[in-house]
Amino acid sequence: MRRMQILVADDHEVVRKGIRTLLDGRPGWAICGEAATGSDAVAKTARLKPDVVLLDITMPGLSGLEAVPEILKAHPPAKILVLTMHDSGRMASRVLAAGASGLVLKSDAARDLILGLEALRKNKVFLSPKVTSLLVNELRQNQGEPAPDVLTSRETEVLKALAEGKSNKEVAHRLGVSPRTIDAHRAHIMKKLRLRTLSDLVHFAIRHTLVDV
Amino acid sequence: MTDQTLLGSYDYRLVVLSAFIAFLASYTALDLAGRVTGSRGWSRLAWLTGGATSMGIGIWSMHFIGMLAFSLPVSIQYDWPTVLLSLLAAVFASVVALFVVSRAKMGAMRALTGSVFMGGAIVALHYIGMYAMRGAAARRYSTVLAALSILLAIAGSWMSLWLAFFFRDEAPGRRRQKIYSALLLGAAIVAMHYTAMAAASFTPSAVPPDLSHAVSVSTLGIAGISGVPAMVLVITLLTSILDRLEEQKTLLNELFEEAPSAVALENSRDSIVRINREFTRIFGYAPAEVLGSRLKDLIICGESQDQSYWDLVKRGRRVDAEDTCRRKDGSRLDVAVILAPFSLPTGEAATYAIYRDITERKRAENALRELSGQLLRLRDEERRRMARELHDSTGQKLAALAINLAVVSESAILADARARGALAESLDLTQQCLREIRTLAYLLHPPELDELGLADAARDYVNGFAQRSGIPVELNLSPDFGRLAPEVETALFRILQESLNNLHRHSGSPSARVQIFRSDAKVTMEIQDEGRGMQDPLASTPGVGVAGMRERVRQLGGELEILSSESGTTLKVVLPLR
Repeated sequence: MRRMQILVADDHEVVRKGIRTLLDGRPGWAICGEAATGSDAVAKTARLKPDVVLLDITMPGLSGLEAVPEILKAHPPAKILVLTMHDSGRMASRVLAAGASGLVLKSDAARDLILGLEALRKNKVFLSPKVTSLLVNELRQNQGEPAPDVLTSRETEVLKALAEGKSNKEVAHRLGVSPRTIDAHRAHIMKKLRLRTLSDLVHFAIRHTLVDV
Repeated sequence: MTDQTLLGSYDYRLVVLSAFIAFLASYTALDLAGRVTGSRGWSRLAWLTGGATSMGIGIWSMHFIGMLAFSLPVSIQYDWPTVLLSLLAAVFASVVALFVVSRAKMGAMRALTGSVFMGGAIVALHYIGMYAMRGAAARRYSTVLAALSILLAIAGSWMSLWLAFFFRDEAPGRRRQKIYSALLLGAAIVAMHYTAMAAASFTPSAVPPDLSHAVSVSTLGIAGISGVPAMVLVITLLTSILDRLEEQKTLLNELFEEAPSAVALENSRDSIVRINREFTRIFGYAPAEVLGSRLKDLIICGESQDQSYWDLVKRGRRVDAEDTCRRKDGSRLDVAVILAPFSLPTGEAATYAIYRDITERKRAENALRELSGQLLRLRDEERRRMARELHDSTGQKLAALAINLAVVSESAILADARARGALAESLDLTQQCLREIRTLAYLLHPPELDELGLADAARDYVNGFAQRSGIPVELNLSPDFGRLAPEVETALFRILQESLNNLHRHSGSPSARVQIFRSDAKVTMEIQDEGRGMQDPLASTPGVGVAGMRERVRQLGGELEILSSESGTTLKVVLPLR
């Protein structure tokens, strides 16, 4: 079996040394290089063409997050396993979205680092259990307001007109229906968008550039 | 001889005249008590002697008219040196009276002694007066009635001393009481006099009277004896009243001039009618320089330049504000100003403007604000530094330690089960430390705020908050929020933290909504809940709380607004982006 070549990028020497000790003598793994900054990691990736880049996020200069796409550009087949202190759902989302294949929390590295590398070898994604729960929590939480596309085209018209400051009567006149119908539309819009007041409605329209300000 | 008693008769017109003079003298006495008490030095002496003289003349006149009212069937003349002596007795009675009532205190003893002297003098006045009668009649006195008249004189004096003592303080609104008291006193004098008159009875006498200095009193004489003292009394009274008015005018004038605030009076045509000394001191304008000018042209340069302030006053409202003004030399000062509507004595509407120099206070407030801002900044900076240190140094070393321990535990050299157990525990402890360090760093200053920015840090925080508290939070952010200046991001994040914590602890709201929008010029954050509302936003959050939020926002030149009602609370922060 070919030994997987690993580039270790972390600005802390003690961490790099620990990882080296952990991987040394393990069959199947070889550390081909070390980097202490984000740009160093990109440069060494281009030169050493490692199979896996073990990447810290908090580094001087180019951060790990910023380095992810650069590394992939420098050597597209490289897989990136992020090793970080950040137990943040947003951070996890960002690095994964940027192209990293896995994420291990430093607090769990003793247990998860090897597991993560093994997973990457098998072309799988790896997440520390804590990171998984953070991401799940983020998905479950209300991600903000509904998009305007939950409205029918008629409702969108009413919304726009109301946001422009037209009265129910004026809107009714413009659309050629009775003011009572506009009332009903308005109630539906409020319910669908979970809004409470007319000013909420105007704000919504402005945020979603349905009206000019 | 008793059957030969001469029957006298009274001229009631003169009796009434004597009673009127008694009243006038009493009223003057009550009024003079205040004058004598209220003045010092020469002026006191003048009031004492002048007052006593006019009062004495009044009392004497009353008695003499009272005697003249009585006529006998024989012709009566009066020995004028004796009459003069009786006048002196009256003046002495008055001196005693004014002296006693103008002392600082009046006890029972002093009142009694005073009334014995005063009453004695009045008795003397009366009987000396009687003694001055010259005619073909002999006097006899009834002991009982004479004794009664003496008692009445002393009792009347005693009463007059107390009443005068009571009225000497010149409290306003006592005029009616003063008139009643004067009536009472007058009545006492009249009673004493006519009792004494009744004590005397006359019998025809063959002994020729000593007429060497005697004069007879004509009708014209009566007019003089009553008219001149009455005039004297009235003039004394008027002088007393004028003197008091003058004194009050001086007092009010001093009060105005010496008021500890700068005061200016402006008439309805906006021209200055009067200013006081403090005005001159604060603004540097002498009265002659400002009269007829407008406050607006002289000192006003701040907010109250706005006509609406003055219109409010003209509509009868009072304006209470802080403003900036200009001195004569052009320098600026901060003032607390009160503009109040006012009516001039002519009925013309005017504005009463009161300025107090608060430059020092403002300076202190600004210094305090700057200091608290600096403290907040320092604290933020310190927390950020400590968080960095924990996250980037201690944390990394602990992470390395954990990895090393894992390496050791994997190696087979540790056959000893105890050593293995201790090692496993060490690894576990190290990982716990690492998590604690991470939490501590996050609480001090979330590293994600620096690395990812407010949008992501807020989302992380809101998600964590929702999970911990069970309160769903809707978070709306402008798309492509981007990064803001670090101090703005920190301030907004801290306010978000503080508000959500308050909401969780106090509001009982089932949900919350956070909106953060940015434009080129400003960033707006709104945090809404549906809770009970904050009864008192400051009281409900002891410690820094809302006050701390306000200070943060002020430091960054923004605005913080809290709208609280029964259906919930909305906190709105607007910060400018520079």
